[in-house]
Amino acid sequence: MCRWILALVVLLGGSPAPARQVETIRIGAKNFTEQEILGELVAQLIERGSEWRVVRRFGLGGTDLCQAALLAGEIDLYVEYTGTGLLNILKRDVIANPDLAYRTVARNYRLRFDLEWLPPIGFNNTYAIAVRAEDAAQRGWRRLSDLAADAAGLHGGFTSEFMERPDGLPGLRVAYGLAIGRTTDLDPGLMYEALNRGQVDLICAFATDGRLAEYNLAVLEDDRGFFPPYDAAPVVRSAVLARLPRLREVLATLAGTIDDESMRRMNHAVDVLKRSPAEVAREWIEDRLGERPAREEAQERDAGDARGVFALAIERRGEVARKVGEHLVLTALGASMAVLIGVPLGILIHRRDAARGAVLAFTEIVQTIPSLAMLAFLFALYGLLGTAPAVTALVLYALLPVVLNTFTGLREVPRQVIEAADGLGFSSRQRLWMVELPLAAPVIIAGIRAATVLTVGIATLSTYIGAGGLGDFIARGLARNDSRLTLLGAVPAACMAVLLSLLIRFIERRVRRG
Amino acid sequence: MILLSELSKSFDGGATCAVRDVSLDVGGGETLVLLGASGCGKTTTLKMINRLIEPSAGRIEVDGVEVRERDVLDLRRSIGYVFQDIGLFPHLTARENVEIVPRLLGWPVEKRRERSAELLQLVGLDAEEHGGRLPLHLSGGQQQRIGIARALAADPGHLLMDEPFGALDAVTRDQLQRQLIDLRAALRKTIVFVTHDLFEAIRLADRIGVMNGGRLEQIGTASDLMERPATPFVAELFDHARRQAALIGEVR
Repeated sequence: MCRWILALVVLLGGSPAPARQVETIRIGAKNFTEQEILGELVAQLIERGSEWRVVRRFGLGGTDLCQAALLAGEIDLYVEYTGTGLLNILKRDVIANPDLAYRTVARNYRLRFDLEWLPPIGFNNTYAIAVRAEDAAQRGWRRLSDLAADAAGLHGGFTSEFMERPDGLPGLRVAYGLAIGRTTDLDPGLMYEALNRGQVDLICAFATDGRLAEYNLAVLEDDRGFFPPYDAAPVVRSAVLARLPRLREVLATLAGTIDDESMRRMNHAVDVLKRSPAEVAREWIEDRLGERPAREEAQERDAGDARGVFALAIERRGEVARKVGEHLVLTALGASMAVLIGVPLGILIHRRDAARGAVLAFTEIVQTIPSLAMLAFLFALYGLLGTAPAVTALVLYALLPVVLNTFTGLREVPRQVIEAADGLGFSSRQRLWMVELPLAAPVIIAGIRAATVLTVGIATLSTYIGAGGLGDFIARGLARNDSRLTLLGAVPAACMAVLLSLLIRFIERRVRRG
Repeated sequence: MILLSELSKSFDGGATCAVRDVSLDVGGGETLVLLGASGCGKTTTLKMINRLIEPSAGRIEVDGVEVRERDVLDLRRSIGYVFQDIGLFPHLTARENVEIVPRLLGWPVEKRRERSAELLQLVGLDAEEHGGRLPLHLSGGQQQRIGIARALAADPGHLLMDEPFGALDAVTRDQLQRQLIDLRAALRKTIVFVTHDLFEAIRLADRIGVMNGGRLEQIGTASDLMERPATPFVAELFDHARRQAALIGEVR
């Protein structure tokens, strides 16, 4: 059993040597639409322009994670924004001049991290404060400074990143004297809808977001030049460029070619028209290289894509099956390792009172750690993305029900039965295996069932550190505000939880019957 | 042969004394009944014999060897033990319960099967009918018969019985007492039997040891105790029983 699991871990987590020596480039992307399109653009350009193998590690949960993944060599490149590099990674002050900002990040990245910034792609995805167009018309808001007088009565919906960034809300408050009455942390995918429905009055949009036009929103002019430039450019590990110098040439196609409007259109195609980032990226490249098919055809395909979740599921059944498989493997690894660790721990705290407090406190505290924070922490600890940190997180969360039920099950073994075992000359190990564990088994298995269901749910978050699974669909659906995609992940996950629970309940009954 | 010599047990670091200076010996297929009210130290004495409780002072020898010099598991497997609350393993069938000590001792399956069938018959149960049942599906009397068969499974030289019939109804208790007498005649085991019931003691004992407040008040045959009580406690015990018997006589 142990060896089997070990083999699986190696198979999934490790990187077995490929049969033939093909250079591999791993491309990262954060978990929002534009990043995925840019990731696809980079990936497809490499696939067209070289014989290298491309691995896509999209949907990484944030800037810090991408940076850490680059430094750990878990990804080779991703597209970053100058402002983000300057403020988040280098912890520098805002530089208003775009060229100077680019040169500063490029120089510092090279010196400090051995990372290289390729030429900017062209667009500037800076923050922009957006409001409903009718509000803007009614209350005479055109510029950000117009908001100051009304700010106290407004409800802002911002991404959690914006709430804390110096070039986000804290800086904005100072620059414009903007004291917004109430704020709510929102997922970037849900902000626009929340604003459109009147649940919030202003949001921190991205200048290139396709939904700005879709929802009839107005962007307020940054009249004091507060938001720093966010020019997008690929960031590559210098070691990779040294090994594959042709990469620079392959990606030159991107330099200075996508302006704000083009990027917004691509984002719109994905977010609003529900087309896939891969397809949108392909069309842009074909356009660029003069192989673009007739526009009408594409339009027809757009209409065809706005179908129900069933049609989508059937169309993408191969991918769904693969994600279900990945999810099952994550769940099986997480739950089985939680059992292998949790049951012995439960036995230990049943036998040694001294260990009980510490072990139970540990498993309980682990439960209170937010899943994303846990994933980010474990990623930092391991220095690699994917299965290993994801499974570790699952094991840690699944531990409490297993440990607690093992302990409770053992404690509830009747006293006279224990006394009989002792009186008849059972060794402590014989008593455990022949009497205590069999009698505690139904309670322990119930704990394993709870742990398994919990694991199926938490495994959907593994997507944020690139471990795959059904969470990929859910996160993409959330990032694009596409409920069909979300359901494509959520429904199979729910079914999986129910089926596994039934399966274990069946085993539980068999055991109970003796 | 079981020999206790100046055996004492105190709990709470000497604050409370459960057993004080008990000396006795029992052997040769004899049945010794330790008689006394609850808390008198009789069960503690019994448990010290197979080291479920370790003595504070004194010696215990089983077949000439001090018990603390023996491997505790070997010791326990060589002494049959019947528990007050029976303590059958609820997840094992009657037969599996009977076979448990032979299993610990590594007997081959066929020998275990043979032995359990024999013992089930000996305690008046049908191996076919009752052997496959879980304890849950057996009556209290049947359960304690299984308990006795389990204690006898590895053919121990000695049998310790801790109020084995205390929780059974009067009719079942009577049946089991009779059966134990027959069994004892057939097996010739040395038995130490603990009870608080004088009539049970009189019925089963070759000798009775009366315990009170952790001390052994007197030890002897039932008629010794009745005719020559050594202490007021023993005298009162028998007086009380006599009055009860008289009461039954008046009803008649």
